[in-house]
Amino acid sequence: MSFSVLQLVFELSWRSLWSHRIKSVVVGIIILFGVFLLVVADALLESANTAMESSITSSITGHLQVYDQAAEDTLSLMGIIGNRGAKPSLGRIANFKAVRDVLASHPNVSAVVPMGADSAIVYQGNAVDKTLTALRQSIKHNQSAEKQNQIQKLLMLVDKLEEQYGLTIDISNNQEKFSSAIEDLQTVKTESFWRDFEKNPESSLQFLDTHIAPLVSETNPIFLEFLATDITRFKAAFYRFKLVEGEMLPEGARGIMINHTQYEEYLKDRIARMFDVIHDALHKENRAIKTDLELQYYIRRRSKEYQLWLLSLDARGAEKMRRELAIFIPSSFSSSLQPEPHSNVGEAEDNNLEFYLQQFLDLNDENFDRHYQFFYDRIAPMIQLYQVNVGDLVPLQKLGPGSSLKAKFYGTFQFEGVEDSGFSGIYNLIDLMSFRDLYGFMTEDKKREMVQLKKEFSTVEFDRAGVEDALFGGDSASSIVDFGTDDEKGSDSDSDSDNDSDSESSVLVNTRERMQVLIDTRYTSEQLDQGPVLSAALVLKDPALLKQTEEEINQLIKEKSLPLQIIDWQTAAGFVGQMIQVMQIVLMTFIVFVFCISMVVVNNAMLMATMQRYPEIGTLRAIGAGRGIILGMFFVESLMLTLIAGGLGALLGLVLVQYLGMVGIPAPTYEFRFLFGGEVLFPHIDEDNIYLGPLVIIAVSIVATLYPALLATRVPPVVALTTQE
Amino acid sequence: MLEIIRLENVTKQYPLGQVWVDALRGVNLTLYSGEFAALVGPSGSGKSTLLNMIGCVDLPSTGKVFVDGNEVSNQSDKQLTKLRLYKLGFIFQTFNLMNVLDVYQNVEMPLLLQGKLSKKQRQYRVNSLIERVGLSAHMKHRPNELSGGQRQRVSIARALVGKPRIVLADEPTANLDSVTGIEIIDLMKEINQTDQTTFLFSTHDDRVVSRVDRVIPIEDGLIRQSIEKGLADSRFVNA
Ligand SMILES: Nc1ncnc2c1ncn2[C@@H]1O[C@H](COP(=O)(O)OP(=O)(O)OP(=O)(O)O)[C@@H](O)[C@H]1O
Ligand SMILES: [Mg+2]
Repeated sequence: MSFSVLQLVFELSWRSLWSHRIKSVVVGIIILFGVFLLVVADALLESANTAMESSITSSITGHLQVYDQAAEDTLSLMGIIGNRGAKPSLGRIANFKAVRDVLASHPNVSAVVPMGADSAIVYQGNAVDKTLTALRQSIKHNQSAEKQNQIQKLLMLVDKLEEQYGLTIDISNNQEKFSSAIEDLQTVKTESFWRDFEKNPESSLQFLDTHIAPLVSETNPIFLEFLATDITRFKAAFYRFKLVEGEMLPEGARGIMINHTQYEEYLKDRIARMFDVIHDALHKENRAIKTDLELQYYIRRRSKEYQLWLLSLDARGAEKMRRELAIFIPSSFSSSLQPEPHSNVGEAEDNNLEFYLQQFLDLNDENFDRHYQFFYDRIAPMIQLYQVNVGDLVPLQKLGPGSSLKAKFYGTFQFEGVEDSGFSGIYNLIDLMSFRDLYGFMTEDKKREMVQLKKEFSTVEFDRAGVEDALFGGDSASSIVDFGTDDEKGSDSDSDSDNDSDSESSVLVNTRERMQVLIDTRYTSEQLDQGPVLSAALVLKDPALLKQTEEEINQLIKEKSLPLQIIDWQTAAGFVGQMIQVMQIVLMTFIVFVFCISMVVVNNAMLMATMQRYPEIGTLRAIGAGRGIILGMFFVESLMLTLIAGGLGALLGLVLVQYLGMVGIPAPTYEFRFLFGGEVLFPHIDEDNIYLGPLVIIAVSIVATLYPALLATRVPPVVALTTQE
Repeated sequence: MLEIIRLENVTKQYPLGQVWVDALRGVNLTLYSGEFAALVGPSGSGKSTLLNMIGCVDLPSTGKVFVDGNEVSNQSDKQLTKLRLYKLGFIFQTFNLMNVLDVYQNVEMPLLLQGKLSKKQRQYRVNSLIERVGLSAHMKHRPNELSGGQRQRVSIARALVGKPRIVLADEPTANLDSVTGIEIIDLMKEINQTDQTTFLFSTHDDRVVSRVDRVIPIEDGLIRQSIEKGLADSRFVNA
């Protein structure tokens, strides 16, 4: 084919494109849109991917994780959602120090952070326990007013329990147990019981401890996931970590820090939490209680939980709350359409607290803001707003058989940008030493304690009430560290022999001292390092070199024959990592789908256009144009169209991505915050993907063009003579 | 006289539903250089079919077609294309010009496809042909800006530009009014006489028949007998 023929081909193609303007524009727009979509979707996908990666790597996993080579399961730090029961067997890194020394030597590693993940139960003593503790305290300090107050409260609780058990006894199949419970409760209500109490308080208290306290069902235990780490190093390595309330755990100290989202969600008073949630629903999400069944149901369910307040308030507190509410309610009560059927309007002033609480918690769109305000102004100060407060010693128990301990709660934190995502938000932080204690990694401290304990058990005597008072300021949990006993709470009810009771008390006094010592102890990072951990997170200087670094570190591990294996963050993220992959596949499929659809449409349009031009093709063939020229003509024509339209589409896509990159896309829901790695996604075109636009265009051109063009070459020249123009 | 086209016992069947239609039933025909001949016959007699065989755009069912000595039926598509490009010129009933190209480009196209001449040589030949068909003033016009007669003149120029051995035209005047049709035939006749270009066309038109040297009467897919110049008679046309 000579140059002039090529020229002819181009001329013909260009001119027929122009003369079939409408067709060209329609096909062009389809191609333009397809390429545009592809470029934009890819940029979004890629940016979200990077953002997600950063959400995970900069909050929990780091870029790489190393752990025991002999582990039976794959380490998955975010895979424990909904799978709390089955604990993976991960082995351990016996000597973290050695590992750190080797891994930190790699030039691309900026931090090696020790880690261990496990769950623990946080629990509180029940209302009777707490009252009994306060009662003991008042007896000890001869505060008779306080003593009477606590006795009143106790009687109130007894009334409530009796009512509960009375209601249940009819439908229970354990009649015997229930009737004996009611018998015990009635005993407490007799005058003779309290006469005995005055004479010998301790034996009466013991009865209350052993017979009444167990009748109260425990408040729901709260499960918390803990990530054990060197919190100071963790903060430095994971830049998304931000302190919210309280203070940072002092360097080298024992203690915990709680994820702020969980603190609000699980550790806040449940009615207070309801007020927060409804407040957000009404004011941030523009929902309305009236039209939102979910909110209605939520309010109905949660508002019943004022029972917990009744149990925790003493008589004076209850009366104070009642009076506050009595003043608040009547003004709004007039608007309430349904007075209680058997309540007498004249008696309104004398209604009990429960009545007012029911009125107060009957929330609707009109009264919500007033009630919300009143709740935080007046009610909240009277109740325990959070189950644990900054500075408290929090009792933690390992899941399943094992030990428990108390850890000082220093403050709450969040991972910036992924606060509400629920993924990186699952972890609370605990120091390595406490973790090792709790999960039975024997440390030097521990060994010393064990020896100490054995000695103390046999020698010291102590007064139990005094110990608890001094140690826990009213909490009934009875030991700080139980070695190898499953049954911490059991000690209360089983202490029927004096000997046992005394030994236990002796532990307490000494543990109190030891506790203080432990709280004040500051470990050096040497000490922290010299012990077992479950895994180590590697934070890289240049995450782009992840694959390469992974291989090099693997090599390093082999060279130094460390018994370790290495995984990348996506694997380490476990369930979440898999979810990301699934999401990528779904999005990719969507793109391919769109791509195919537009391909079919383009192909079809081209085919129709080709068929319309049969006479033209036939004529060209008849006057001596070969197949190659026909092919070339159609090919060049489509190529020009797709290049122009696709180029324009890619350009528009680029402009849009650039624009979005400047203004950002706000995350529409919480889930998206995780995808976006924050509240706003700033999409960008990856350098590696800058070629994607042109590549796609050429692919589209070829696929969209080839078949019609081939078809065109099959047109026999005779159609030129038989088809009417 | 130099033989340009020879047909030996050419038959052509077309499938029509379940049956086969005999479009040609054993045609023998020879055309010589410089002839100005008309295929004449009633509708459906096989004129177009015969022209397609000669024009190498369709192949016979049996029999042989020779174009300038080349047997058509055992040629490849490439070779047939070459035959059409160098040895044959086509004038279509519906003109079949490239509407996207102007008059000059339409005429130049076969030369470009041949790729033998320089730009200068092409220019000379195209310009003189356009002048010859009387369209110098319309060189830069598009076909759809021209009248039917003018378009057919462009067709003629295009058919001639590659210096073919024979120009084939299937009812070149059917889409023209009678005056214009006669003008076109006269133009072809003039070219035939000055350049000795061979023409073969089919027609229904009496006045056209009266202008040809040789009438080839065709009926029911068979050629009855050729009538030489001077013996032309409207009998055959009206039969
Ligand atoms: N492609 C085809 N398929 C089927 N039958 C065909 C085809 N082309 C022609 N025929 C049939 O062959 C016979 C000859 O047709 P042809 O077109 O050659 O006649 P014609 O002389 O050119 O007629 P007209 O003067 O109407 O153009 C007719 O019976 C026609 O129906
Ligand atoms: Mg015909």
